[in-house]
Amino acid sequence: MVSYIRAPVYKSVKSIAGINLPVLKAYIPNFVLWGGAVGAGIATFTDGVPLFKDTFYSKIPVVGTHWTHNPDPEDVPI
Amino acid sequence: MQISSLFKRNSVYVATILVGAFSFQAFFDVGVNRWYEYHNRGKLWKDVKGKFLEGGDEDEDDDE
Repeated sequence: MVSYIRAPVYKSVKSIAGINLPVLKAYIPNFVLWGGAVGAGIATFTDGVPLFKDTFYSKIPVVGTHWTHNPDPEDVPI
Repeated sequence: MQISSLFKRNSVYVATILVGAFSFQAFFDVGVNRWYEYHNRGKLWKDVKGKFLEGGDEDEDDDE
């Protein structure tokens, strides 16, 4: 016997303020790329901060000397 | 890889600019310094310092 239904049965994905799991998944590549951009921005704008210079940037191979400054103590004016 | 692929997504574009800014300053600085020190080798203060500082007072007396 054929069973009829009254109307299409819609299901809605659980979402909070229009954001749901499939949407979030679709956005993952974007989030990763923006994360990289934010990381690069942090590196660029903390370029002159001594803590960052000494902890990270001076340890970069080849170009690390850009962030190091070790003059001979004889050559430093008092 | 095409250059235009850098402009397709704003995130890639922004990241390219920032990474470029960060790495360019370091590479440019180190590169120019290396060239300058090679070009002027033997004439830089660090090369000739020994000549002036080892004698100390004696050299100054001779000059005067």
